[in-house]
Amino acid sequence: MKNFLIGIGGTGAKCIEHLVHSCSAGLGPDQLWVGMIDQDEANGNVNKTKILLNKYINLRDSLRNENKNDLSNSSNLLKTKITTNNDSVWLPLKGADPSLKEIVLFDALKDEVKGLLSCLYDPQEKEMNLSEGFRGRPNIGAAAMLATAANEDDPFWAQIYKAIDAAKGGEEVRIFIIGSIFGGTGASGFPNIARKIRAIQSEKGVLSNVNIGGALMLPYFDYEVPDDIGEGEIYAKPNQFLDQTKAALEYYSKLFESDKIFNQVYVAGWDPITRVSKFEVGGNTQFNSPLFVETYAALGALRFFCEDNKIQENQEIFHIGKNDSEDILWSDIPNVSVNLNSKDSLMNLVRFAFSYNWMYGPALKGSWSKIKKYSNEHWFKRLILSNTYEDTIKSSTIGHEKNQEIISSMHEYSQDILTWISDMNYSTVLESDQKMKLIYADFFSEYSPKNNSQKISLKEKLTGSDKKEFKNLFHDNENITLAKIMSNISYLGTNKDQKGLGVFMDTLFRSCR
Amino acid sequence: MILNILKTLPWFILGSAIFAVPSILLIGALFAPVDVESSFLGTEWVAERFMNLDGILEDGQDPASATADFNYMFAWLNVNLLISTIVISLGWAIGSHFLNIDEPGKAKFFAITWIIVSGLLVGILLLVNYAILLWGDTFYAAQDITTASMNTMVLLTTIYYGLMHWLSCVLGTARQARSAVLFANQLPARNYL
Amino acid sequence: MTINFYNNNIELVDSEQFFLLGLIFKNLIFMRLKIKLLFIFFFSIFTSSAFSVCEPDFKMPEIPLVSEENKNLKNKVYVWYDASLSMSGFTKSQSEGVNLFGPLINELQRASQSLGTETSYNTFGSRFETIEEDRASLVTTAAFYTCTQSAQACASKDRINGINKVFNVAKKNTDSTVIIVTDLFLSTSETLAKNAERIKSPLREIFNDGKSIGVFGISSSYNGKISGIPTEGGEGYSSYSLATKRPFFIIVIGDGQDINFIKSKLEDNQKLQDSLAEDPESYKFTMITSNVVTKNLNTEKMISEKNLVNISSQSEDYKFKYLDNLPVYQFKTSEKDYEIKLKNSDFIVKGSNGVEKYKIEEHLWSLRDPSCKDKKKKWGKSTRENLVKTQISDDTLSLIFFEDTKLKWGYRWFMIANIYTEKNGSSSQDQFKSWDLDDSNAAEHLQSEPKFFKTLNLMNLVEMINDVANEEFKPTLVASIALNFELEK
Repeated sequence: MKNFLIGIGGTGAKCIEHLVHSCSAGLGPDQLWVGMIDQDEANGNVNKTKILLNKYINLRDSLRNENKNDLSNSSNLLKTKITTNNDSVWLPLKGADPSLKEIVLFDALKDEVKGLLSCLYDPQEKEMNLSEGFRGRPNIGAAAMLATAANEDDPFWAQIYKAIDAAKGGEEVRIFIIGSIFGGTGASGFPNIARKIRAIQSEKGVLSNVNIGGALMLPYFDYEVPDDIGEGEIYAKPNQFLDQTKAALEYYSKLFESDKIFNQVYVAGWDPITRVSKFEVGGNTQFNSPLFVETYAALGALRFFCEDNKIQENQEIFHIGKNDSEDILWSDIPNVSVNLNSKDSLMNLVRFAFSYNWMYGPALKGSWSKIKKYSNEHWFKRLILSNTYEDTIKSSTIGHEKNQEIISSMHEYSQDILTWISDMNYSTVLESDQKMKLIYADFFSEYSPKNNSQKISLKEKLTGSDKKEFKNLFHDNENITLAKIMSNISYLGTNKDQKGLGVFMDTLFRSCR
Repeated sequence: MILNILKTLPWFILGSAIFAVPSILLIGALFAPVDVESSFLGTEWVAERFMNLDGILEDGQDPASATADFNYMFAWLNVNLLISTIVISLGWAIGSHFLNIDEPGKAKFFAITWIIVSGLLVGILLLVNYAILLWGDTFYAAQDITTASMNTMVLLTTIYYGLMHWLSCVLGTARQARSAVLFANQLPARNYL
Repeated sequence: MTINFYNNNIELVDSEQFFLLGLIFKNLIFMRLKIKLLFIFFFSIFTSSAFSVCEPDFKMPEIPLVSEENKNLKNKVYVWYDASLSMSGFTKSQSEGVNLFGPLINELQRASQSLGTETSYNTFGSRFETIEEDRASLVTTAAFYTCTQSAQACASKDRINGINKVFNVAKKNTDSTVIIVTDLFLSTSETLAKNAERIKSPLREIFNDGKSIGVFGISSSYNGKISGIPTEGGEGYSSYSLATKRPFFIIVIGDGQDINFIKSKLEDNQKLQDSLAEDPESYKFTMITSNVVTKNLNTEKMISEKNLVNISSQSEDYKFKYLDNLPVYQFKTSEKDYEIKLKNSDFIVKGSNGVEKYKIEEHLWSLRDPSCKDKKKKWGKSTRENLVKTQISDDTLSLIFFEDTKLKWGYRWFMIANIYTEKNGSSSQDQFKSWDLDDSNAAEHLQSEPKFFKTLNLMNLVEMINDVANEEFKPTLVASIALNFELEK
């Protein structure tokens, strides 16, 4: 089965962040291609996701190298083979400062067509610079996307064409699109990209094996528009989100009735809407913290890709929300499938990240002369020394550059996981009566909501009492201690297929369960 | 945790058995009647080495009868020492799984704990020895040994059961805590060991 | 009437009923009897086992049997008066000093009447013969001592005391009491060589018979001539008439209690008491005997629980019993040593010099099973020595068991101690030294014209008696005691 995920707009990119972490935890399919669509090339969230994707892919490649360091197929850590294009983001409109007028070749149009367009779009909208996205104007975005051809030579669309070809060859293809129903890019791209894919499918005469799913995000955040914003400035207006959503839902209602573009649609929203701290029109400063509801979209996508999920003939629409109380609990997180427990897997991942970041990562960093003080410890001997020992040098290669790169990359990735979960933990309930009862993050991180570039700062070192708090990490009572993890890595068996650092990484991951 | 303990217990049993089995055989031989030949070894050497035969003869007692009593006492001494060693060593073997070794490099600091436990065992061994051989009133055969012999017995038994404790700790300690036990971290690290 | 036997109903006619009832009744009685017998059987086993003896095979000490003779029977008393002339000086009054001769001899005579069944009076010295009571009554008068022979003969006889003859008689009358009144002024020749042997030989027999000799020395006023005093250089003898005081002696040969009877009678005399008040040195007494032990304490079972002083009779498992006259103390203890106290007065001749040293014959057994239940464990004879120490005081004899020995606890021990006399106490003979005169200093004493004239060869005789007594000393079994104890830690 071939799986494709397309995240549209900033929301799509944010949801992909959640999805990537979920895939790290082993919730994802064996293989997944990820792409993003955003006109705002420099969007903060999109860039963050791009970086995250690269980290994931590089780390996974390092740890799934059959010759050197191999987690092996049995490991759930970084299970999903995520691929993407060199540039994972597709810009619908290329060029330095594209505008709608240029895209539709307004000047070359007949007058009556011009007139029609002038009715639909005011001059500002026609002239709007689209290099930073569609600014909450799905009407603009839709037109722009429709005007752009799905060029097979385009790296993005080449993947879609390959997918269709694979479907033609009998392989099942599942394509999942994530976007917001409000805002700009997502709202405009969500139905149209799906339509485009169906069009290609039809063009290629592929009648089956192509299943399209989507996660449609209803309004779940807003922001305060600063008073100093210009009168004529075009931006996504939060006070219009609900109206836009209402109109969009009516549209989708009719669409789903008439045209079965999507096989499964996952709808999620949040109430009360989360107030994000900073407003930006676009660009790399438009950067919002991860929010809880985005996990729903990510898990919806993983559920769609899961082989246990049988795609029905009829279109299915799934909606999800949390429990009625003000508390956000682990029970609010749905399982990907009967066999894939989201809560357990995510807890496992967070524990792994924690213990690696503060306990094991620092121990493995540095030269051999620094590391060898652990060389008599059982876990080190069994998991590191025996798997990195080289006869030629009669020593371990753990201190060598390649291995150190992997160790550092994993260290960094662990910090990303901890930052993600902590930020989500705080930001979701900022300025709200809701209470996040997933993790206790106070003892290992500091939250600065006003510092947009780094809201979460992780402690460099943990004190003894901080380490003791680990057993209270999750609000749910299913906690283990760091000592238990140490015990587990000493006792859990290893897989014969695993090699090098893959042995340790997987054993540590499994020890955190 | 229980599983980890159960994985380590066979090694503990092996480590203990290396010293415990000869001890049990000796105990069995000592409990056997004097006239019965022991298949393990003759226990006459024990009596000859440690007993004050002159004193026994001076009291008009039969050395054979005295030897039987001595063997009985020595057997019970070894029973008590063996049980004490097994209890303490097993306590350490199981307890080592509950030590707060939560990060690399921390295990060696629990060497202090192990030393204290081992010291406690040595204290118990000495206590048992002196309780039976000197202070107690259960075995009057204790009077049939000289002070020098008594001290030799105390020393030898303490060394023997001390070694048993050490070996069972080396093999039976939780893997993550091996650095706390003398030379235990020299053991090869395998999935089964 | 229906009887159920194992659920089978059986119907009986009347006659059969009565017969059956009788049978049942008889059976019941028989069963009760059987039960009783069984009870008695088990009870006897139980009690016998409870009180079964846990002792080694030991040789019972040879404890003398109770003498069958009637101790209350009185024997004959022989009183021998020294009839030498110099004795008459005691009968005459003297202006200086108190005459004790008369009162005490009278006292003696009265006492001797009480002492024996009959009293025979005799003389020795100048005349060796039995005299009638009439004559005996004159012993305190000068007439008694009159010598009817020639002066030379009288003087010659006067020099020889002749006490050895009296001893010879005494040895023949072993069950009699012999009382001798004399000045004990022996010539040196009587104390040498064959003559000495003549004295010693009867003494040996006297002591061998278990008799004692009490020597009373009384300093009395004197008014007479003392003859037979050796001159300087050994050339003849002289006499002395200027003494106003000299001692006379009463020697009693017999049982210790008879001697003590005489002693108490004499000492109760008022005159003597008055004299003693003035001069304590006027009276001396010593009892010489080869055997100071009057009786064996086991014979009359005089040893009791109280003698074992540091083990309470109320303590657990304490038992005291006599095993054929052998007292056995049975107890359980953690004490390391034990003390048995015996009263000297129970077994030592009153007034004698007592015993200076005892010999303890020790036998010790050990058993490794204190409860005596393990048939395989046997008693073993110990080779340990010096287990008992003695502590002698004027009143008591203490036997300290195992003071210097560390016995093993957890054992049962059986100890038999046979206590023998080893050496009699030193005679108090030295008190007579101040009255003694010998050849070497007799002339000098004479020349000093003493008022108090000493007795020639007094110490010679006393020492001779003592030496013979010591020669004839035989270790006597005072007591045998057994300890059967379980030693706890």
